[in-house]
Amino acid sequence: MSEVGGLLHGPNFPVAGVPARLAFHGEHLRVTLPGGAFEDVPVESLEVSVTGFNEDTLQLAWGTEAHLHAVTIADLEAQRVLFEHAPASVAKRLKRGHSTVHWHRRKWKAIVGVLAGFVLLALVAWWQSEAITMWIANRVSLENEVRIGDSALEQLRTKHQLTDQGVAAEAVAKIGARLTEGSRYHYRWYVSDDRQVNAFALPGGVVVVNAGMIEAAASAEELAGVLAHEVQHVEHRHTLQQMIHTAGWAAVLAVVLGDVSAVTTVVIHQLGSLRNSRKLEAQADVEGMKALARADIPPGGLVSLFERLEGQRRRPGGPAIALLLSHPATEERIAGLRQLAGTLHCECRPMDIDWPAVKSSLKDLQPKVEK
Amino acid sequence: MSWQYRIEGSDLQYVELTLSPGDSVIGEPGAMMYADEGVSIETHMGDGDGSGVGARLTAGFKRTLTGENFFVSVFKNTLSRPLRVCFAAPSPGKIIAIDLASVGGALICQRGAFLGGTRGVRVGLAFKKRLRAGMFGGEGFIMQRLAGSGTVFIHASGTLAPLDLRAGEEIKVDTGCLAALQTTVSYDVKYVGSLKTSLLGGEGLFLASVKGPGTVWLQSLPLQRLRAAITGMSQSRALAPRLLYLGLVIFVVIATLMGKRL
Repeated sequence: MSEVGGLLHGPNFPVAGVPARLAFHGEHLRVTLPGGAFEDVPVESLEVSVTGFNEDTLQLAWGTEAHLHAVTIADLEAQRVLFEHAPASVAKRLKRGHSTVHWHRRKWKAIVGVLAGFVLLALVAWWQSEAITMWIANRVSLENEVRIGDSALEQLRTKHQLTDQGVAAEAVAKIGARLTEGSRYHYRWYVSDDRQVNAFALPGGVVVVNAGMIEAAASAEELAGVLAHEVQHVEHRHTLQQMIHTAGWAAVLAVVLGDVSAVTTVVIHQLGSLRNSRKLEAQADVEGMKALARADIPPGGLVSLFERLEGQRRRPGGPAIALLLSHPATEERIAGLRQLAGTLHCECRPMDIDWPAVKSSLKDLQPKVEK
Repeated sequence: MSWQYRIEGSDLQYVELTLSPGDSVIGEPGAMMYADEGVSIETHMGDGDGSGVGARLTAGFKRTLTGENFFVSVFKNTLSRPLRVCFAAPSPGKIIAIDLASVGGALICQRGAFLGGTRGVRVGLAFKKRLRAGMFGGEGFIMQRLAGSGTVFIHASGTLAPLDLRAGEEIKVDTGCLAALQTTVSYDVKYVGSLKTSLLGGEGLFLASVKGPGTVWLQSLPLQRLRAAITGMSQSRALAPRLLYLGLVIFVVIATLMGKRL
């Protein structure tokens, strides 16, 4: 017979209870007081419950209302010993009480575990956000990318006249073709009537060059530098990555599931304000220069363009230049570009483009009349 | 342990202790009202029981979680004659002395209740494991667990009423009125019972429920209610938090009805 310690509570005892020894004898629970006096309680009259502030005390009660007696067992080990030696008729009830004691502990472990999991997940997502957006961007099929780009292009057409015909557009396409040789994208080149100095790439291989951009470029090499840069945004899916990054996880689902209409709304909204992160811009710079060198085009075009534009902007009363807003031409950036241009090996060939003719052809491109 | 004490005042109380030579007592920083010359005051991290640095840091952190100070002041009689030290209650209410041995070596109190006591008494965390009691019981998830041997002085606003509960005896208590309870007492919350009562009865949606065996100490005027009475509730009755609260309450009522063991 294994005895365990507990506290006996009853009408004639102090509120805190008196220490008692408990053991099962056959179908009775024997409660022994320190003095040696004992009482045998028939097990069928025992009521088992879980009490205490911590919900971890096993209580066995008998008697009614004013004559209610109870023993409480707070020690977990004592609880285990007690129900191991209990007669079958009461063991089941004891075990249920014992498991209730454990239930609360497990519940809090689960709550803390789930919370910790969420925190960990959030931390990993924050730490690896770039890798995650890149991974997601790579899940988007080429087809969907093209569809996103097309929808954005349609929206653009409502505001500006875009053309892929004429001297200027053909010159852009000619330079572009040299830069994108062997690409998995099927590129389309457009010249827009917009007089702002800017150029941008849409997902899926659409590159739009503003008329203002061509006017600002002093040579075909300078335009080639801009195009090479924009092409890298397409090749490395920067626009998609940035879109995913800013639009968040709601857009992610839409992209993966292929709900293009929702995504397009986001893209169009962002077209004007979209800033590729500094890291993505740097990548486009470096990769763009390498692409120029591979295509045997002098890689210094972007440097001279930026230097001249930055000079114009710095002048008192100088214009705000859209290209510089999205591509800040900081001194370190220009210096980095120049250094890279010097190290690249290039068997440069002339561009074979009549640049003055390209520029003058822009006069035919009239701004779209608002209907 | 060889100090005597007497509690003075009716509603704004203080407790005056007489320390035997060489004896010491701990008190919350700022609680001391006066002390005789010859009583040294030292501040310790944690419970001031001379354990290691790590243990003291942990103890101090636990103390702050239970509404006490990170530090504790130890008052020691350095002379060879009895000296007095006195702690004042921080708000209108009652101070009571409880011998921890008489309540089984540990006592659960509401946050911030501990005022002082025998050196070696530890102020620990009593974490309420029942979600609904923690959320709606009025005492929060964290209460104080005063453990050790000796006497503790606890303070609560309003008048303190000790109630002895027989095994299985259960009483309803307004939320927030629970000042202290023995570890053997079960504490839970219960839905008031009807929508009409909960909305118009003025007792709120839940009542705390305590069940014996053991002693509970109830306070007549929780500090929040006193503060509300003084500042006037009109300014702070914003709608949004109350709606949020209502939503939460409905959620918990449903959850309680669905599974009794939440």
